[in-house]
Amino acid sequence: MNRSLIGSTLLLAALMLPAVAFAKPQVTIGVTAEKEITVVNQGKKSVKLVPATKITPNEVIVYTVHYANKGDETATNAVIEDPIPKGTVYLADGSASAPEPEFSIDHGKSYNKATLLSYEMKLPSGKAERRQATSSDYTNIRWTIKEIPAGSSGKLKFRVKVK
Amino acid sequence: MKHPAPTGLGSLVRGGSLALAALAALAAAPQQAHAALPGSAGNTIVRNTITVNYADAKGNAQAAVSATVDITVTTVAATPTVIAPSSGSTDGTGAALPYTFRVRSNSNGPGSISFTTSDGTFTNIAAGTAPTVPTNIFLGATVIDPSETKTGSQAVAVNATITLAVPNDGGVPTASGTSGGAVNDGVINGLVVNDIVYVGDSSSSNFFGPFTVTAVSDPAAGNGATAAPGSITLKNTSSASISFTPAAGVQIVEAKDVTLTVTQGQIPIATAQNPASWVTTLSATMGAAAAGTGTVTTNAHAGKLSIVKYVRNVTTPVAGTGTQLSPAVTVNGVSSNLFYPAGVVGKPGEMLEYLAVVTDAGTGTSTAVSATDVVPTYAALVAGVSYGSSTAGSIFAKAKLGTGTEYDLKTDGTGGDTSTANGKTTGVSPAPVTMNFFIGAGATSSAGGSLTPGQAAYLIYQVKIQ
Repeated sequence: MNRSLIGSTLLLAALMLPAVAFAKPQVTIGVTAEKEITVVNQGKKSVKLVPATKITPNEVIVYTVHYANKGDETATNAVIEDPIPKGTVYLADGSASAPEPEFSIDHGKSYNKATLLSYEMKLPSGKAERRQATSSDYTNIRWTIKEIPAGSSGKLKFRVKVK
Repeated sequence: MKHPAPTGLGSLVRGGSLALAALAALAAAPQQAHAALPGSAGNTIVRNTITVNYADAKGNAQAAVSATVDITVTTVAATPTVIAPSSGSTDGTGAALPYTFRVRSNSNGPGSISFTTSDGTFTNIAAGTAPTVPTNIFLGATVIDPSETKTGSQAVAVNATITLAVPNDGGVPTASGTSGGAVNDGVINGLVVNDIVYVGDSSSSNFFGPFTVTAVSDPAAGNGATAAPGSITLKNTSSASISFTPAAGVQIVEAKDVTLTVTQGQIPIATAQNPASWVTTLSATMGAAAAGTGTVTTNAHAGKLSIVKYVRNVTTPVAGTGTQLSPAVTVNGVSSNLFYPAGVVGKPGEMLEYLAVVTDAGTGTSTAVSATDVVPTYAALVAGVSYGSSTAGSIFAKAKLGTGTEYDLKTDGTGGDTSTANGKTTGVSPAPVTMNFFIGAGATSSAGGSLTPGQAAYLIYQVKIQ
């Protein structure tokens, strides 16, 4: 009689303890677009970033990617991939932030560091020539972040020009 | 008694106007552009979709996460191209001539075009009524979308069609406005079925067409990684095959025809024998961009009458003075070599015969040509065997146009011929008798007809010196 009561109580007690959740990461991502405008203040020119909803051909869009790990475990090997938006061309001006991105010129089939990207061009003579890809050839950009600790966040920036 | 030949003639009238239609000749040859444009159409949605793939601490792949941001491209106003028709011709003050100009967009998106017109560069002519101004038009424009797969030169045969991918316009424009449209409304960036369009090249320096739009697709942008493109189908409605090379960003622009009407001003009579012309300019403006212009020259014409009167003494031929008609003509069987502009004398009872030569010495048609002459009080119109009478209904003169048939003019206007001239007299001797001549093709018994440039009318009549 008493044993079963204790057993039930223990069981109840066990059920009342908070459940121990399995630790897991939860990465969130967001992207905002801004455009650069030149402000002249007392003869001094400076570049300001303003939110962009409308853009004129030839203007520059600055995309900021916000990522965060809202989970309770480190996220590993986070690969953030972004096809260069249709109608724009990537601007390689050194403003892309760390970690160093890689680029694809074949719509995401393969990626490489900028200096290592090349392609083969067939000449009219029939010979093949290897050419270095330029930023106007890039179709995708990606960053690989080895670890995003739980509770941390980061930002990545890159610029494109509207055709 | 000596009576010198009367020198003055009464009133001489020219008037009216003739208009000739001039039509634009628009070939399928490439047209030149006004400004190079970048490759995004207005209303295009620039969509950035970013995806992150990651794993947990143990390396187990987690569900991917995506985010999207859309930005809309603005329409940039551009100077329109105005294609003017070839020169036209007007004949007479007030003559009006309509011209058809073709106005083509050079923009990356739809917009309204407004117009002004002006006349200038007047040569031997004064300004007439200002040219009319066409009402505003709305022209669509877009570009070939990056998703278009056709590459290399595309030859589109007469009446054949080609379909091209174009960017989604967000359902924003209508056929006549830059906003207020809807998805699937049959409008893609202001372009609709039956619009006339031209396709550019990669440098926007040549435009190929005209094509007629036969179909458009205007879908919703959707939630895909990129906004879903629309499409447009173009039919070659010109008279020759059209070749162009599609590429992302190449413009597809609308053109519309507009009409303006010019009016001839006054050509000074003193110089009406010289060429006259003026230039009309049509100016087309889209938004804040500089205006595009086209000009057309109109060659103006005006009739100019010259009148010379010659006389001879029929009864007693005498030589007169002055320059005789050259080359000589024969009227009523009599050579003009017998007639003189001055110095012919006669006595009472003698017959004088007058030869009046009315010529259009200008560059245009003289209309409503009429003349009057008063029989001198010392003379009377003669009733002769062939002509000359102040009696009602009888012949008082003869008329001939160039080398045409001669016709009798009768005092009551029942003579003459509408191909040549007519005339009648008013007043009965001994009161002054006035001879009224209605000269040229189309003449009636009450109104003058027309003389074309260089055409001469000959009038011959006799008076007896009392």
